[in-house]
Amino acid sequence: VLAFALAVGGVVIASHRQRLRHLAVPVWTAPSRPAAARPQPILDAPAATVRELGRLPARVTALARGRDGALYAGTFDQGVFRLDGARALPVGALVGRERFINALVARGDTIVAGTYGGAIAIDADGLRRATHVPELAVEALLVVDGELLAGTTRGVVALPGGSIVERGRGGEPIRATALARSAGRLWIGSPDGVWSIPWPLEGTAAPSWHPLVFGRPGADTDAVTALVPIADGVLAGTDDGGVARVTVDGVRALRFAEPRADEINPGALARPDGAGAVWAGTQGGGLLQLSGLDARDGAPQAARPAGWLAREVSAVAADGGGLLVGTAAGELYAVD
Amino acid sequence: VRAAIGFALLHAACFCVGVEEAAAVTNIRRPIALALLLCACGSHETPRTPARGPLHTAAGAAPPTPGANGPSPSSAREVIERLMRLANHEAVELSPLVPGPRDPLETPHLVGKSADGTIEFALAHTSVHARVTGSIAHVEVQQLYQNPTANRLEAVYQFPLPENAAVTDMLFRIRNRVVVSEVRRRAEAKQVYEDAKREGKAAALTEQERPNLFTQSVANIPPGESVEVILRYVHEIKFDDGRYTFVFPTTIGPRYVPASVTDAERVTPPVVPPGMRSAHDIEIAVELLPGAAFTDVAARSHRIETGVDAEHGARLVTLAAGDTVPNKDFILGWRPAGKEPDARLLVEEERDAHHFMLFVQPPAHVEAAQVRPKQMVFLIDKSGSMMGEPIETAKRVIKRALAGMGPDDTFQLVAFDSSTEVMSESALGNTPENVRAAGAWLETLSGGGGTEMLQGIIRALELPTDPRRLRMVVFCTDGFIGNEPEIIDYIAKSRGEARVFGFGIGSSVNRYLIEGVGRAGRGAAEVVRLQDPVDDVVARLYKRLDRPVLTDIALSFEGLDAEALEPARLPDLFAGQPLVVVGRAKSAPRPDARVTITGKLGTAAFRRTLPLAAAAERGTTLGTLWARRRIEELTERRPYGGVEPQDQEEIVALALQRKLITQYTSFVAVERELKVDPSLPLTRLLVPNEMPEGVKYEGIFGSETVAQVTPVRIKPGDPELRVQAPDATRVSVELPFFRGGAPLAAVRDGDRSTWVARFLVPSGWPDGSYDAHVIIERIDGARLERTVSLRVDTTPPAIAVVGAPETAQPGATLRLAMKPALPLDELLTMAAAPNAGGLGWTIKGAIDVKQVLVRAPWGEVARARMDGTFGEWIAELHVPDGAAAGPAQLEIVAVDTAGNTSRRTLDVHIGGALRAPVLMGAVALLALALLVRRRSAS
Repeated sequence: VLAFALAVGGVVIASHRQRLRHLAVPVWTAPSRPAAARPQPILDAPAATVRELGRLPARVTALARGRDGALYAGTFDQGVFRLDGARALPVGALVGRERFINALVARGDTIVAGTYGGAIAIDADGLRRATHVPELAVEALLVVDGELLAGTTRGVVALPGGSIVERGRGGEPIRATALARSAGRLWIGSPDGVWSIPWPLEGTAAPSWHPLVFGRPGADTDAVTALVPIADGVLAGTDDGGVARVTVDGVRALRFAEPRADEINPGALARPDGAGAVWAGTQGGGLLQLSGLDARDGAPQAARPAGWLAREVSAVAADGGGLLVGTAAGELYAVD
Repeated sequence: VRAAIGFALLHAACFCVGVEEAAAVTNIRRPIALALLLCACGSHETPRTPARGPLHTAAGAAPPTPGANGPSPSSAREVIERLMRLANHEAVELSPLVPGPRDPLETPHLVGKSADGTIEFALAHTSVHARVTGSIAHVEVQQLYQNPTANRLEAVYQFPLPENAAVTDMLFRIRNRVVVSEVRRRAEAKQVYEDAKREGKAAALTEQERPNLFTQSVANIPPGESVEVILRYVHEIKFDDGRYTFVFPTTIGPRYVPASVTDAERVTPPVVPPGMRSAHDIEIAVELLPGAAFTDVAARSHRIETGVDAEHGARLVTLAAGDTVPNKDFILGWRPAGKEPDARLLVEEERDAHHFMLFVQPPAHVEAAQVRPKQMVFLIDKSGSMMGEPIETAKRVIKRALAGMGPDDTFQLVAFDSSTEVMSESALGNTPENVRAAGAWLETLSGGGGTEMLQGIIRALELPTDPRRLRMVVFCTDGFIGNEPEIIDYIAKSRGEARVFGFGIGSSVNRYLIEGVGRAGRGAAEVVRLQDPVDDVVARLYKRLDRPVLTDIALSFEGLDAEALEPARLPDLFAGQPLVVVGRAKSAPRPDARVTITGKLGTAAFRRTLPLAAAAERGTTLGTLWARRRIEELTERRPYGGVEPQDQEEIVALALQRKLITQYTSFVAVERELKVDPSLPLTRLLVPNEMPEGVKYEGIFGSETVAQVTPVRIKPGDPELRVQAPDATRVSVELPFFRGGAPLAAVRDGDRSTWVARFLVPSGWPDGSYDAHVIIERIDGARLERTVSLRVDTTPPAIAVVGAPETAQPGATLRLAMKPALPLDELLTMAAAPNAGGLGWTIKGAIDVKQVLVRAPWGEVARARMDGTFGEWIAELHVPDGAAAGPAQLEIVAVDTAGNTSRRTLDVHIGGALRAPVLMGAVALLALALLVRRRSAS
């Protein structure tokens, strides 16, 4: 009987061995432990001057000011709108996945929208002027030295065509979710941390990897949602691990005392011209003002202007010395 | 039992043989038989016979008198009977003969499914009666709806009308009552209709979806009864190249609806599947008045019968028997007998206003211009609806046009379906090799895929321009799309100096789109039927291209105080095209009224003064046509595709004043006295449209109609849901996160068959597996439901080290073996947490690992790989030669598919290899000492 049972068991194990490979080892208690970053309290900041600019029918995901002064807002699944006074007019004749907007950037007389269906240039009349990489989802856009770079599901592409970075050092594909330029490098956010290459690009350079989870202290995640330049590197926003200061020398993560404030929305980091502080739009912590980031060993501080805790800030963008803010409810504000 | 059998026999006898026979058969008294006969006939009244005879108007409703200029009270049936009585009536065959439809009796009729079983569709018959005077047609359309069910019925029919129709009236007839409509704002009308439907009152609602596409809803048709809906409209008849063309569209081609269209379900009626008939036929009767004013009367589409009715002074035209399937446009053409005046004016006095229609013929014979070389761009629709005969016709048009190019002309070919392709990035010269290559390229095209028309147009207009050449875009399509305003708007704004010519290909083209393309592109519009010889069409195209166009046209009047001309911006005219303007005047024109037309003929100034041959009468037709044109202008004057609020209000005011249906106003009629028991179940039937002749079903719907759901990713943040549904008109998703809210509408992406939706999983949502219900509404009216699982996972993976050395020597490889771990102490926490999505999936989420990274203190980061019989994650680190001896802490990070991250540490001793020999030496020494002591003792 025992032999028969063993034989049957053996057959069952052999036939399900592929599934068994994914079985877990039972342990009494989790061997894991949380990251060492100490939670940062969020202080009260002085109330900011806020002007309501309008309201859109969907979650705002990106904001940009056109050369003619018009405000453009990208939405989660309703395309791009141009604000004409209090009216919001859809522009670009976007269809299908093109209506899922991830990023907006002004370039010359056009506004370029990064969408799930490529990058689309829209002119001041609201007409589509060009469609780039329609087969790729464009998650980030950056104009650098007059060149338009797109962070896509297949690395960084210089539009209208031309790959800049597609794979990491180990040959792994890079999904570029955020882009920034600082300290002579191009920084690329991805779900696996931050990558960087010297910029301007000279020849072909293998990108350097800056995993956030191995910082001092490390972040709770490597998933980067936003990047903004600081003095010697970038500040990376993550999906639920707060922010991390990333330089070529290392990573220093910063968690917040309110866990929902650790969720930085995609693209929702901005630094207005001349401002020392970086603004972050969070999923559950409202609008945060982060200061003390430029000094390597400085003590960063987080503060929140009164009245912003209740709002889910889904997009922020620098507007000269001011700030544009969009929320998940479709509200648009100018914050001075 | 005997009484019941006797009663049934009596009924049967009464119904079959009449009173006398019934009385004889059943041996009962005659008065009783008569009474029973009446009872029987009443209960067996056939619904196929619409109630006629003296009409009784519903309380408060005016009798259904046609307008002063409306069609005569005679119906299409009466016109047909008049024609049949004429001795001079003749049958006119098409040349070449078009194969007639199959006998309707041999074709299975389309039936629908209800909870009670199988039923026939509700529209039994359509009858069209048109009365044409000059260049204006007054048309009455009667739709007979029947209720074949035992429930009360709501029938919904989306149907076409000419794109320039001004629909002026709707009424319906139920039993012996006629209910007239009123015009209201669209939402109000809909509310009135819905209230009546709920209360069991018979009601009808007519709404405009597009200028050439309307929805007729009829509610509470009593079981076994019928309702006749009558629509009246007036429209201008197109005059081109010396010939008038009257068109009545009979069906709507299945439209491709891009994601930008918000009313997809309102422009995509169900379509009769292959091999089926919709069970309703059409009869068309046209009266041309006066009969002597028309010559060369012929139909391009149908076999007709015609004759001159001297008694009524009319030429009568009807469809020939057997050519009554509503699956293609009815196209009737004629020439005016005698010479048309160069300018004529029709004036109508209406209360205190005068409206006029001015018809000006440009110079008939103009010399060919100094021909400037052309840059021809041929844009061809190769979507699924063009599969087969339509795309072959388009190819013939383009090949013929290529053969007719001038020696210095260039050309480019662009084709689109779900995507766009060009034959060459740069323009090709007119050489035999290039033309041959173009022919070969065209032969590679076949119909299939979606109709991303906007992308095709963008591509065609984006091509580099050649300043030396005139750019002409020839656009061949059937127009089966739902975003016409977007297309027309884009061409108007983006064409630059190019002219765009719309070529409608097929038997039931979307003329609203084709005409709009020609108008917006400052070109012209043509419809090419599948059987049409293309030589004439192409010759007309080149005649227009090579003759000077009359541009910058302005009109000035003497003896007529004209104002508010429509169109306000006069179009350019090609050879053979008249200028038709409608306007208002403060008073009647003087007998010596004249019009001066100025403009540019090519580059030369053009000026001509013409006397106005004015004809005046009383009526409202011209006022209606003026309002219709004004509404069109207000609708098309839109930035970024919307109608300005003030323009919208002007449209509504005009429509309410003149009783017109528009996109903002609808007709509603409610019978307030006759009611159906509102407690009866309400069956809703969508009336299908016939597939247009020559269009292949599989080209549009594909052979696979089963929907498939493909979720691409689940978490974190914003998952995307993709649904493969080749024949869907609408796809929506009910998500567990938004229960109680409206379903999320998916948008059509790229080709016709893929739909996508983007949504956010709310923060804090418990882990587990959830069902998203995908609702697919198909073009044939069917509704499918699919379920797709969404797995929410916010639990970081735990990782156990199952194999690792305690020590590692410098220069050696440090090999770690790891496995996902299931912490038993957390099982209780997982079980106690709200697990709406199921504990099993929560556990699966907890043990899911996608990536393991190990970082050593000397800076090396190793990415583990899954290996081994039991699926261990193996990481290998290389201890540097100079690594400091002592304890070292390795950091291990595990990431799961959802992006959740966990970390742990592992201590190893570097340089600890010496410990083992020391220990072994100590053990050996101890053993030796014991051995020595034992020997000493012995």
